[in-house]
Amino acid sequence: MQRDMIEKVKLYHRGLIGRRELMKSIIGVTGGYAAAHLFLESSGLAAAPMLDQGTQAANVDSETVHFPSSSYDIQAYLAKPKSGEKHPGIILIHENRGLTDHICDVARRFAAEGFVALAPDLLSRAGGTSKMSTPEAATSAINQMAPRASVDDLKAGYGFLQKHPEVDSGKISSVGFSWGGWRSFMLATAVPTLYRAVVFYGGTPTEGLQNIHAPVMANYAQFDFRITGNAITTQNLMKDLGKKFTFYVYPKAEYDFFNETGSRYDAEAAKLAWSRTLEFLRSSG
Amino acid sequence: MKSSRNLCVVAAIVMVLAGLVSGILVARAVHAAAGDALLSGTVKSASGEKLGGVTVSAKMEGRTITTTVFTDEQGNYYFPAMDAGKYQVWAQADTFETARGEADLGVARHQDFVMKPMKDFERQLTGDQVLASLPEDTPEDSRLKRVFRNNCTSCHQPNYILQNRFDADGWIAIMNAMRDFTVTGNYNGDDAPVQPTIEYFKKDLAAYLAKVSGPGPTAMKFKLRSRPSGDAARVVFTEYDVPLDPSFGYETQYPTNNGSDWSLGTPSALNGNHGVHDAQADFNGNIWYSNNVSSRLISVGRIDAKTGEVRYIKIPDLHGNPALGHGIVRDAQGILWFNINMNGAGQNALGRLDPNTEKVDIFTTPKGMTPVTQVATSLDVDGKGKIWVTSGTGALRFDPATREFTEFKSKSYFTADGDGRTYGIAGDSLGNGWWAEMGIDIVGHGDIETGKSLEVKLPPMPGQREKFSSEQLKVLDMSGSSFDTGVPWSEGPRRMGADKTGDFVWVCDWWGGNLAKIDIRTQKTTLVPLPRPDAQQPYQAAVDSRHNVWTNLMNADEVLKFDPKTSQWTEYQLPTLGAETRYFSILEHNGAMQVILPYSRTRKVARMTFRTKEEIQALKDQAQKQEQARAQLQ
Repeated sequence: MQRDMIEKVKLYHRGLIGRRELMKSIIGVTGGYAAAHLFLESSGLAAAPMLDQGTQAANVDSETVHFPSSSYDIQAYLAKPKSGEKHPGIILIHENRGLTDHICDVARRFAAEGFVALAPDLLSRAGGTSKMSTPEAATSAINQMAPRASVDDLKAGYGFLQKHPEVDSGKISSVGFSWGGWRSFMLATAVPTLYRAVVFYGGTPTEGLQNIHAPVMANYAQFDFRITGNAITTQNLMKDLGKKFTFYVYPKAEYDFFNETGSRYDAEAAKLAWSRTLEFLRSSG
Repeated sequence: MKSSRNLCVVAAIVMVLAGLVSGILVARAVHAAAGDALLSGTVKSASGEKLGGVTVSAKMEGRTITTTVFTDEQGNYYFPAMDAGKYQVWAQADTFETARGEADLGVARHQDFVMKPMKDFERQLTGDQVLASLPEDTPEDSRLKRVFRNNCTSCHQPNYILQNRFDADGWIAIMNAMRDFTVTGNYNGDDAPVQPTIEYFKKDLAAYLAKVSGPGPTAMKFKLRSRPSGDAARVVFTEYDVPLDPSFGYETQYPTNNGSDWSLGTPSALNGNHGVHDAQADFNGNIWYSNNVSSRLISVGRIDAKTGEVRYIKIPDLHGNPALGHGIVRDAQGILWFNINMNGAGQNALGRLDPNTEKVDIFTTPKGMTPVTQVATSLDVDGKGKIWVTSGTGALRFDPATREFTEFKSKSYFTADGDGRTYGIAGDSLGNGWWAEMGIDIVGHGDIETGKSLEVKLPPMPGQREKFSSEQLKVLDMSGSSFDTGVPWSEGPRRMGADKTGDFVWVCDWWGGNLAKIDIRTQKTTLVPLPRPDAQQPYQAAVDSRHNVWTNLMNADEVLKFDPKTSQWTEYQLPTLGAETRYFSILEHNGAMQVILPYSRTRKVARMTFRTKEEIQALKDQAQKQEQARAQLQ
């Protein structure tokens, strides 16, 4: 049984199956998502080695980088095209589960699309996601953190990308999911030179919208009422302030619909949101 | 959470906690000997008019029990026999100052009151009267009144909200504070999602609230309810004070405003007033209540019916702290069943308490089954003796004999209307389960014969969508409904009750202001509007053995009785302002009926009992005889 799972991991390494299919197979054998993760961790087949090999197949480079924020050392996952030319940059902001394999996958997908994607581990101040014993422990630790501290870390990440030789410093955008969605919007209020901000099912800041220069785009799920219900209020506020804001609501989708490793994954909505996000990030004006 | 029709029967995990339960005595009341002292009197207005339906309360010095009766149509009141001693006595009616007296009860005492008009009576009014008085003559006012009603009054009594006055900026500051802080004062965090309907309507709502409760004269046109008469004026309320949780070191043992003096306004629920949630009387008459707020001592409270003494039962959770509950019911054998959160994954559990031995058993759902809900949990006992309890995705049925849980998952969970978390629950005479999915106007139904989950969809309230612009409708549609907030056309099925010997389940439509009467065999549904459906909101329902339907109105501090044979309503008004009942229960035992009312805002539990005309006449005769005898002695 373990041999079957190892074979699946090898296929994933070679880029022959996606992470969703890999997890589905392992869950089928182990009986649950938590058990599947436990298997990957305990078997020595955990994230990092897979990701390094996976990046080769996608023709992108990836590495772990560090940058300072206040007195903290922030770790981040950096994925970039192999070409070595200058590319637009993205600050990729994770959900309240920390820097997961899924977010690293998304970073590589952006890199494959020609972006330099930096995914800071916003649990760095608490030791880092890899130090958390369970996903629940990661969420618990993240809930203890002051929201604005994470925005400071993202600003530091923006500074890191600005200095990166392969990044077009005038085209650094942010993309955040759920917990990170609010932070993507917040980064736009805190960094006037941010190029674009994309929010996936995240809240709107209650102050600071007048400071925004970047156009903002939001992808909302219909069945995420508490967040999605604020779309028109946000639109009106942004319009009154002369800011650009576009939003899309994905019918019958729930929050986290873009996360292919989660139970709320909605392939159709995720595909459409991805294409809209890329188009928005590549747009000008 | 997709729809499913799962039926799963597995053995429950049983944890017996006998020996782990500790009882702590906290409130010692003076023991009452059986009394035979009678207190009666007449209440008139300053102009000499005899006033019927006046609330007259008496509390013996040093005691924690308040007894309340009402004047009859001739303005006379008659207390039941009470212990001899010194009593504070006070009479209250809306638009009148509180009239106070003292009575030293020997054998009989006549205490008359003259009621003086009250100039600023807004603070006395119950939530339904405040709601009824809000302006709605213009389309804008009508719209905003509905927004206020369906977004603010699920958790807060309207009279509590509007007894304070702010200008529009002040009301915005209040709404922002509610956005930023939890009800217990904890900061939500900058990134907490905000309530969308309030955010959208905030400025307009603030202007409307400033108009009705701002620096200037109010725009309210007061519509007052009638004072009780007939059956409703013959009842007796016995209210037991429940001390503030002593583990938190409050400066006073009891709330400083507990709603007994209406002129003080509606009490705040902060500073420990919350916590008494659901309550049941046992067959000995003692009352057991659930505690739903954090405590170092209390899982369940017990009130001695004779002395008012309150004792606490601590059921240690997995960390040794008192586990908290919400719902509590009594089965035909007198055993109490309640939900209890043991604070561990899958450890929201079902509890069983024998009131005679105080032995507690805890039953957790087996792995793979959705646990009992953690928030707003309800329970009921069906006509076959099985226990029904809400789960996050539907309902659970527990068989006390086999100790097995059966799970019924809601057929629908997310719809365009909102999310379908379970609120209230009822088990019917045939042994079927029914549960409310408040946010999506659906009543789930567990068919015990087939094991399938079915559902009844309630129709949207007519005449509401038309009030709103296309943009407003878009916001409301995108915001949906949940426990706390309902779109203007939502019915909002909250808690419910089943006729244990009949054919119907009665569902309280909180926002709709009606009871949904569902035929348990055909699912045919009829909406029965409350007497004043725009102002009254039903919370919990129960059906007595004569098939009368009872419901409590949290915001009106009332209990209503509906007789389906005559379609007549009777309104019983509670003696406490801001009682905020979120539950009530009925005990029919030894030929007598009583209604138990836990007060969630004012930390009391009330017992309502009934008197016939003949019984009151007998009291009247007895009082007269005792007074004559005393006069002769003098």
